[in-house]
Parts: sequence; structure tokens; C-alpha cells
Amino acid sequence: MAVPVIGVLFEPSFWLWVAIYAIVSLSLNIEAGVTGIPNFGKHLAVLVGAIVAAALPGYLGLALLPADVKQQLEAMTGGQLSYAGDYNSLIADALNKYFAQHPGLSLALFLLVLATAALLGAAVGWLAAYPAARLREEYLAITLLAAAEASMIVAYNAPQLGGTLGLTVPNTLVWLDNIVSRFVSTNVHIISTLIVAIMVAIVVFAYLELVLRSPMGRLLKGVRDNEVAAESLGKDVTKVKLKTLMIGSALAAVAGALFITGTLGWMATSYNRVSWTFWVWAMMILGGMANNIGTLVGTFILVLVRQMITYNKTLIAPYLPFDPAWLDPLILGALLVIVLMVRPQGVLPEKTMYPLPRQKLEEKAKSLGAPASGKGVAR
Amino acid sequence: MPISLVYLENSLVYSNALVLLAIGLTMTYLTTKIPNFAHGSLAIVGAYLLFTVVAVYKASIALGFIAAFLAGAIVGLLEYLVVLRPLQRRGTDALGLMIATLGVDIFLIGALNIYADIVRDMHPVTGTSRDWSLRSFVLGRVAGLTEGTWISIGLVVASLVALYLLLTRTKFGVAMRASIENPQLAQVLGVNVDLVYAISWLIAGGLAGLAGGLMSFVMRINPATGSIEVVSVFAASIAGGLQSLLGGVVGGYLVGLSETVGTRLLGELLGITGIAAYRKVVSLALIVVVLLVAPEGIMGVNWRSILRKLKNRAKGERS
Repeated sequence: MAVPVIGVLFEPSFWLWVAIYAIVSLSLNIEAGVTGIPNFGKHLAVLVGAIVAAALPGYLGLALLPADVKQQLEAMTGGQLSYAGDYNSLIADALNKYFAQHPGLSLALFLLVLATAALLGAAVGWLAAYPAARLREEYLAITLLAAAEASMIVAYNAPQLGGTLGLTVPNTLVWLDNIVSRFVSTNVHIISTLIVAIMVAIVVFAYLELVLRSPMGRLLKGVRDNEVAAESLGKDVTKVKLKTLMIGSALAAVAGALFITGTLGWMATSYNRVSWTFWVWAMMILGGMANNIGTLVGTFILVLVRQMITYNKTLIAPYLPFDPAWLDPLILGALLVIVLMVRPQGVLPEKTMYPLPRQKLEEKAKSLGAPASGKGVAR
Repeated sequence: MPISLVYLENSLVYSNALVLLAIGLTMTYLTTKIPNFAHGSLAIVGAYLLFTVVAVYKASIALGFIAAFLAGAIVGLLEYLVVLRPLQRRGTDALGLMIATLGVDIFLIGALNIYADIVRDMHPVTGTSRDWSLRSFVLGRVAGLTEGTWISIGLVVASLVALYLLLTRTKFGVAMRASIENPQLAQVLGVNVDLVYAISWLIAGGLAGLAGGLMSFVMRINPATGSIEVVSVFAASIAGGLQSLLGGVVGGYLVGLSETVGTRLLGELLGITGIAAYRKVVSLALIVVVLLVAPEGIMGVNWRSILRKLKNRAKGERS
């Protein structure tokens, strides 16, 4: 308790939160920060990825179990063998044992989960692009928010996903857990998820940074700054929005799938507006819209703030007449409004992206006879 | 199984609450052009005030509704004056303002949770301050209907009449309509547009507070209820077109009745039980259909010309 601030930085779960939120906030940054699509339904894509990771290993794994193991299970559950039924945790346990003996199968399932999540996420983005091409900013935001909320309620009530009780999800990362357990003794599963999540986050960051620096990035910013101008230059704005939303939603869905793989539990209400839309927006705005590094900084800061509240809860609880967990939304809401007022451009503001490296531009300008100052080139 | 009177009463109370909410949301959107995502939580602020006055301090329901109106009005006004107006003055775009209202929503949810904890500790006799309902307080029947139904009808009629008189019979109402039509021109002509905007947020918040009180008659309330109900409120306002307050009234009844009676009938038609859990999907479908087919809303559609076209077509087929 003496060093709660530093202590949190050594927790692998803290870094897992950072990595997963980094993927989602980077994906929001390409949609909202760079292209200007007000995606207030970010939690829909995350929810879809989470549903895939919650349902697919269980249902498919159960179907792939050999007959003798199935019979053993049926003997324990009284002939009832449905993954989302009353014996969910028992079945998940049996699947875990089976996966541990067959790491190849778990690896295949894990990759299948990620691929399916990305595909379905892209499908969500494709659906969202239909209103995105036709509606004004405010209406689009409302529509996407309503779509995400309604989907969450449907998922919450679906008996196939355990309904209001949620699900225990079998571990498809056993293959990596086995390797990791040779090096560390505690938090094995969290660390192996963290390794995968960090790798995905790095790939996502590199990809989005390349997009931002490419001509495509300038096109996206052009669509954000002036749709009519982009259209008049022969750019298909509808298609640009469609592609952006598909990529952004696919990435968010992968993050949702990784989150379930890490926590091994499904509960529809975890994928709410506060956790996976508002938070992500706050991270992006705090860090700096349309700046990938800024978005990462914002993600780190906000995850740190939340973890610190969680860690110091027990410390301040005796002095408060209420549960200190509620300070979390209170502080976060106030923080966002303050950031919007004091520093709307974020910690690291958007940078101008030049089509060529600065030096080459200046050389070209020189050869054209223009003064070699930055200003002359930018024009 | 026919739909019972109690079910119809409940859906009427719910629809009345939605009407009050949709009017307020439309009013703030018309004046300040900000879609307020915290509007649902303003209602729950009112609901908790009603709970405090009626269930904790055992005072009369009328006093409770006055408190609910005042609480909603003050919070709505503060939201505008403390958060949104300074942001607008700083040139924040529509997107930033929407995110700010989401921030206010999160803040209110946190504050309501804290308040719920404190109320529970102050009065342990009441048992719970989460997932409560005031249903049992208004079950007495007067002239065939429950007290809750009469209260909701009375509040809606009174609010509508008061708003109508305010907007058409007073100088302030003319100023408000003028600043909706053309804020620059109104300002030039000496209308205090800032005051008009502030008062529209005050009225919207107050109506939301009343609506939250009504909701506690027919559903279980907890601090997060507002963030779910706001989907229906937006559906009601959008179905009404976000152009006129009358649109809010029509949209409120449309969404309220189709979410309750509509889903019930649909469930019976298709033979599915438990369809009521999915009633928010109805609101979503309404939002999508209205925005894509008739973005001006029900009040924006030129029904007369459609009727005429249909008549002409029918005549043409006959001849």
C-alpha cells in the first residue's frame, strides 16, 4: 500500500488492460480521429468479438470431443450436454483438460476465434457504413449508440450465451500457457494473453501509423476536413468510410476476443457504453485525436488512473459513506470535460503529415527556385 | 390471452414519461443544437428525489414531484451553464459537445450511485436504494384507473398546456420561438438568446425529472436506468422529427406504446414468450427506419400529399 502507484506498473494485468485498450482506442482513432466518423457504438464491435471468443471454443470444442470423453461428461451431468446450460463450468473444466492434452487443437481454435472475430467485426463495420454514408454527424452517433445498446441487451438475454448468468469460457491459450509456465510461476495465463495482446497491439499500431503516413492517410483526413472537396477531386467518400469502419470494427472485435481469452469469463453487461465506448473516446481525446502515439499515451494515462482508484479503494473506503468504486465514473466524467475545456487538442496534438520526408521536400523546393523555408513548402 | 388493463395502464404511464422526456430533448436540441446523451440520467435524478421524499421521508407524492422537477431542472441548467456553454464559447464542434454530454452522463451515474449508497445508510429501514420501484405507493384505484395512471395523465396534460401557453401567449415564448427560427436575427432584435437557451435547458431538465418520477411507478429504477432509457428517448424524438415539440409528443406515444403493447402483440402473434426483454430493439429499429426512410420524422412527412397520391392511384386502378 505504501507504493501503490509504482506497484501497479509491475502487475501483468495492468499491462493487459493497456494492450487491449490500446488496440480499441487505435481503431477508434482511425475512424473518429482521422476520418471523422463519430462512432459512438464502439462497444458493438468489441461485443461481437467477445461473443465469438465466448461461444466458439465452447460449442466447437464440445462437438470435437471424442465419444468416450463425452460419455464421461454425460454421466456427470445426467445426460445433458449443452455448453451454455446448467453445467457450463463443468464442461469448461473438461474442455480445459482436453485442450491441455491437445495443445495443437487449442492453438487452431484460438486462431479460428481471432479470424472469426475479425471477419464478424468487419461485417459490423460494413453494416454501420450504410447509415454512416447517409446521416448527419449527430444522427449517426445516435444510431450507432442505439445499435450497440440494443445488441448488448439481446446478448444479455440470449440463452445460448448463458443469459444473465454469463459463461465460463474454456482456455484456448493452453499451448502458450505451457511455454510461459516454464519461466514464471504466477499469473501464467495473464502473461501469455499479454504476450499475444502486445504483439497484436504492435502490429495494429505499425499498420495504422503506415496508413496515416501514406497517401491513404491524407485521403482519410481530407474526408474528415471537407467531404465535398474530397468528392469533387474524384474520391469515393462512401467507399472510404466503408473501408475505415470495416477495418476499425475488425480490430476492435479482435481486442474483444483477446479480452475474453484473457479473463475466461463472459458477461454481456461488461460490454457497456462506459467501458468500451466512452472510455475509449476519453483515451483518444486525452491523448490527441488523429495522433497514434498520443492515443497510446492517453490509453496509458487513463488505465493508470482507473487502476490506481481500484488499488487505493480499500485505503479510502473507511473515510467515505459510500463505495469508492463510484468515484471512478465521477472522476472520469469530470476529467473528460476538463480536458475538452483546457486542452481540446490532447496531450500530443495532431501533426501535419508531409507527403515526402521534410528534407526531400526542401530539396525539391530549392530546385524549383522557391525559398527553402518550411512555410513555402507546405503551400 | 388478452392484454390486461394493468398492462395497458403501465404502458400508458411509460409512454407519458417518454413524452415528457422527448419534449425536453427536442427543446434543447432545437435551441442549442446539442443532442443531450445525459437526458436519461436527468430523469433518474428526478426519480431519486421522488424516492427520497416519498419513501424515505414519507412526505406526499405532490411534494415529491415538485422536488423531482426542481432537481432535474437544476441539474439540467448546470449541465448547460457549467459544461456545454463554456465549450460552445470555445468553439468546440458538435462531436466534442456530444462527447461532453456523454461525460456528464457518466458523471451523473457516478453521483447517483454515491447518493444511493448514502440514502441506504441514512435509512436502513427502506432496505434498498437500488432496483426500487414506487409501484406500491400508487396502486389505489380512482374511477377505474390507478392513482399512478391519473398522476401521469395529469402531469402530461399540465405540462403540455403550460408549455403551449408559455410558447404562444407570453413574450418569452415568442422570444424562444424566434431564437429557434433564427438566433442571429432574434439577437439583433434585442432577444436575450443566452437566457432563452438557459431556460430551455431548465424546462427540459425539469420535465425529465417529472418523467423519471413517473417511470418509477412502472419499472425498477437503479442509477444506470437512465443510460438505457435514453435510447428510447432518442427514438421518440427522432420519430417525431426533432423539429417540433408536437413531434416529441407523437414520437413519445409511438415509441412507448410500440415498445410495450407492440412487443406484447408481436410476441403473441409469433408465439414467443419473453420477447419483452428485447423491447429496446424496437426503439433501435424505429430510429433506423425513420432516419433512412423519412429523416424529417413523422411530423415532417407530408401526409396529405401521400394520401392524395394513394387516392389518385386507387382511382386510376378503378377506371
